[in-house]
Amino acid sequence: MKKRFGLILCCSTLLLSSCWDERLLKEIQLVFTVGYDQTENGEVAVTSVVPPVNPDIKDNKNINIYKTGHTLRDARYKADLNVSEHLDYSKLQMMLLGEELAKEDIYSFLDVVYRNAANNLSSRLAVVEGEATELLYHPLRTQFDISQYYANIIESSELVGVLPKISLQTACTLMFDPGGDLYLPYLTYNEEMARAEVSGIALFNGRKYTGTYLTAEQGTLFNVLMDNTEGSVRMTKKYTEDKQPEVANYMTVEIPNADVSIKVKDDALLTTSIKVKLKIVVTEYAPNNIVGKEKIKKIEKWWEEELKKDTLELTQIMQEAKSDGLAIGRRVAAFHPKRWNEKEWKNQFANIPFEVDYDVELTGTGIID
Amino acid sequence: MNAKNEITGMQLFFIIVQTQIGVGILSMPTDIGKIAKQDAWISMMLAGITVQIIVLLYMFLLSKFPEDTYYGMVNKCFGSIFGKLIMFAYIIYFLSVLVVSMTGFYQIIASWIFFETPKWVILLLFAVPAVYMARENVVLLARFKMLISFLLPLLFVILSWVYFHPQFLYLLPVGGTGTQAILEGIKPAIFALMGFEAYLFFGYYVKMNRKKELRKAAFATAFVTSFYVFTIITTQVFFYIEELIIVPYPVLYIMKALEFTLLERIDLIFLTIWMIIALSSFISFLFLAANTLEQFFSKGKHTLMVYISIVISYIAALLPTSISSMDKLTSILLSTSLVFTAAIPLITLLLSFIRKLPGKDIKS
Amino acid sequence: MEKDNKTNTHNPDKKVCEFDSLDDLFSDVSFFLGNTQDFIRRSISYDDGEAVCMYIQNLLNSNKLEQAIEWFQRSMWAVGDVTHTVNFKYVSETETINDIGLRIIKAEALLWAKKDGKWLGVSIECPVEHYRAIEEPKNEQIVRGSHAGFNESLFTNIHQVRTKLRTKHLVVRYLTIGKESNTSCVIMYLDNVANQMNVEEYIMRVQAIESDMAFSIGYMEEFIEDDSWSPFPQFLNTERPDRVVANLSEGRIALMMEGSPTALLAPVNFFSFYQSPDDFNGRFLVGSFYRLLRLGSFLIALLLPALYIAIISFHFEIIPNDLSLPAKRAVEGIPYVPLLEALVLELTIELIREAGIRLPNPIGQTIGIVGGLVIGDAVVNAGLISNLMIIVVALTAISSFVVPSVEMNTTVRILRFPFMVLASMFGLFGIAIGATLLTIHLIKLESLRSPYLSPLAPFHWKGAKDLFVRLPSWKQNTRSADASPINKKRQGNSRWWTHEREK
Repeated sequence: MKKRFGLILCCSTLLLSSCWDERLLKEIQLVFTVGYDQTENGEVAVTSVVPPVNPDIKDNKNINIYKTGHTLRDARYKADLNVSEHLDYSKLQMMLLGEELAKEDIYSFLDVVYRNAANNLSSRLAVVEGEATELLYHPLRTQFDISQYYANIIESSELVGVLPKISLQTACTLMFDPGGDLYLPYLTYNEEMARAEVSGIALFNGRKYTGTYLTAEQGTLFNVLMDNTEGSVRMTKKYTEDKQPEVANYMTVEIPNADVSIKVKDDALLTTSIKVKLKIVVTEYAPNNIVGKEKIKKIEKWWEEELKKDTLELTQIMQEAKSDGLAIGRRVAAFHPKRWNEKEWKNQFANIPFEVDYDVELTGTGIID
Repeated sequence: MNAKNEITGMQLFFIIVQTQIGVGILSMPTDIGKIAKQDAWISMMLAGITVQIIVLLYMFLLSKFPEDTYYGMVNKCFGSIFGKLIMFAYIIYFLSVLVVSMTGFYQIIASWIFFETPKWVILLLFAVPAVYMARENVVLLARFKMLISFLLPLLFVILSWVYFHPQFLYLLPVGGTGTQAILEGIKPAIFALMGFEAYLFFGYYVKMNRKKELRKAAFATAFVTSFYVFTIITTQVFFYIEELIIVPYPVLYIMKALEFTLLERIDLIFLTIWMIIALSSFISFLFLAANTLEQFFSKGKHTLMVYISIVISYIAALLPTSISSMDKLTSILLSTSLVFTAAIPLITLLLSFIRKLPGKDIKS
Repeated sequence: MEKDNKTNTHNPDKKVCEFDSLDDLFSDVSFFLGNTQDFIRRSISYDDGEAVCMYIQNLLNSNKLEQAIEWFQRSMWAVGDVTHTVNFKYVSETETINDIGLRIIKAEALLWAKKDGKWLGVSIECPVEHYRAIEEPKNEQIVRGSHAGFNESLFTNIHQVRTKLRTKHLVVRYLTIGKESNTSCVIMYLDNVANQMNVEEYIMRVQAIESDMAFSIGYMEEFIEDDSWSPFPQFLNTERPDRVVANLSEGRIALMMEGSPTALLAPVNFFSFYQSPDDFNGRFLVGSFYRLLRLGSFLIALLLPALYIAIISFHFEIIPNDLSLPAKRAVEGIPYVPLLEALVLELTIELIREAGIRLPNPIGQTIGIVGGLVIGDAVVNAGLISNLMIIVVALTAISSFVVPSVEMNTTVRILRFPFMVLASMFGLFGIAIGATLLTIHLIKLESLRSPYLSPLAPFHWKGAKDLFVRLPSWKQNTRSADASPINKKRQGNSRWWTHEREK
């Protein structure tokens, strides 16, 4: 009985003490979207978008809090001076990086995100044309809550295969991997529609934004090359020149399945061959009449040529930017470890000859021929 | 039923597994990865083989002296004065294992969930269930371990999500770090497998079909090794090695990054569940510490000894404050642990041959 | 007292044969019974002698007694002797006043005659049978299967078990407990299945009870259970004969008591509280599904409020993205900490429940509606409690009532409070600590010296399989090991004919 009493006494001392790490949900402001910029004097500017807590408040009533500080943490603490409740970033869904900031070593800005156990590593990242703050202060014509809007447009772009899926964690792995470079969604503001727009993929060299970005069409191709065809990947190209109306010249195909093999040869320049087996389905082609083996062959052949041309163009852009998004370096390190030189790799990469080979198979034409 | 104080081979198997797997698994891939890089899994396998050989040695020792506890053997071989000294050394060893595992547990909780909760509270919360369990006899302990083992597959299930987008290229080239590094990596890998010495101590309680059941339990280390190899490979196809090195708890970090629709931050849930496994490992050592004390004083009461051990280790765990001093203690402990887990049992075995103790005759 | 008796020559150990007259005997017995006024003396005359019949008026059925006395007179007149029947038994003249008194208390009428200087004693049994009819127990209703339940009569209860188990192996042992109440109890088991060690243990524990009163079986349970400090019931209470029979055939032992419609079954394990006869009457998929659902409901009832508190006040990161904003909106502006919020609501539900039990049925339902709907709605509108909390607490309450056993149900409801407190202090970590303590406690717990978590700890693969799925009945060929039955085999292959057809 004495022992029991002792045990109870021990436990009750715990009851007396307060709760140290309590973070009541009702006492914090959730931040879903945040924008980072670098100011002229080298400070970091943080714009946090807090969703309206009262659901009756309609859109464009999001609270934007703009604060600058020496580090991200510093700016975040300062932001608390303006908010009635504590700002909390652990449910962060979207992180926007201003162009100027992205051109620096972005890991030094993101370090806090990785270091703090409370942060959400599956949040998305994007590079913004101009300043992130500016974009966040632009009026948006959307039915949705602005704080969730950016994460949603990224997600819908991933769905149509324009963007590969990049979360904070996958970005971190890419930043550390010398044999592969980071790529992030590139966001711009469309004045006419008063909406943000995913205009492509920003290419990084190491941890720095190169200033070049792939267009949305090139993004789709990049996705195919990354063997990322889980979403519905669609491509549209001008097949003929002379048909009327103009729409009839274009053919849209969907790519349900791609089989990519990238091999690096052990020759002087590390010639890289990219072999892609594609299955395509024609989803839109107004002139109809895709019948007969020969016609199908012809279409397949034409697509092979076109894609090859585009791919070479794509690799050239990446080589010029010295951005190894396709992770050729990783393959060199894995298969030809003797040839692998971490420091020299980027210069080597710029001169790699690419051999591109497409094998397109038309598997379907929808429910009409 | 409990009065028999006897366990089966399967129960011994899980006691050993649960003693080996603790909080260590969460940081183990980093510790080995720092040295052996992408070949950490090879180091782990080699370490597993080494430990398996040591366990075979234990098995030999146990079947040579079927009537004795480990300390009984030591006393027989070394004589009672040296025997007492060795037992005292074991007491110190087990107590410091308790201190180190408590601190390791606190560090992970403090860096992952509770940033501000004082150390004494967390350690107290940890100690209360441990004492509650370790007071009991070995049969109940075995039942607990067996029940808790149902939580082990959880790690496997959650980590298998990584294989939706694995980067197997990170594992290549196999053997690329060189033999030197791989061999050096065996050292932290063996430390991760620490706890296999439980075989030596708990093996005594296996009485029915002793030989066959002991053989069954000897596979525990093989099981743990394969579990660890899976964990290492999973972390390595997820992280680039340079990144892995700066992440102290890669397993948790992976879970933090995984996305599930029903719940997010699966790492928090996993950590709280894994804590029970860590506790289970701690309980084994607490039990062993109390058991050693009990035999040291020849007629001590088990419950009292549990209280003594927990009070000493609790106070000692509260003393060192800086991470570096704790790390120093950990590294000293780990290097001396080989003396206790391999050297002393080996010497015991050799001595028993030299002195021609009649152990074998009784058996045949 | 004894001294007193001796001086007054009222000695309870005095034998009947030592008395000289009927009057003396009656007055001594009457004194022994405290001169109670419902102790009746009836003088009867038969062919050549005088006899006296003594009994307690309220214990006997007077019509039957009248018939019995008439029968006695007639047979004495005609034959000079009484034939032994069910109702008539000779009583030895060497019985003491003490023995006679006990017989009278146990509802026998004693008839004493003095004939040729020898005493003739006859006991007549004609008990009052004012018992509740056999009906379905209200607290253990099922959909399919037998709807019979025990009542307060030990006689009919044993009858119900016997008619379901017509085997020579069914053993019934009578025991008497309560120094003053002299309640008769019965222990039943199958001697070819039940472990004799368990039987002896059970009987020993019942006999060891040194209580003067035995009110009810629930009261007795505390005397014989293994650990009274545990929140978990270690004996299975049931009012259903079919459940008792099923458990007897598993090798368990039942204790029943006069005046209680409940049987106490032991040794049981934790999971037997979650089994219902319905499982076995339905189809196997349905049975398995509901068994899993019930076990799930245990976890929900125990942990859901605690988990909610932990998430809302410590780990809201766990809430999925799309739910985080609605959750935030729901808890915004609630003045109290989540623990207080939950406690208030949980206690309200307990209040409603407690109030509902005491009230007659229609009013009880009204209370439920008023409590549930009106208070729930008003409390959210007033902004005192978040609507998420209402969902959580309601779900918990429903889950806790799923348990087929009343005691386990109360246990679960009580146990969630410590979990809530732990969660409010240490979040998920606290819950894990609580769960570990609970697991260790369950592992330590024993029911009649058998492990409480039996098929799980110690682990038996066969038993554990049966926990979660109920295989078709012809597949369950062995008895579960937790009651350590002597005879493990339950049945042979009943479906050999499935292969016959192919031939």
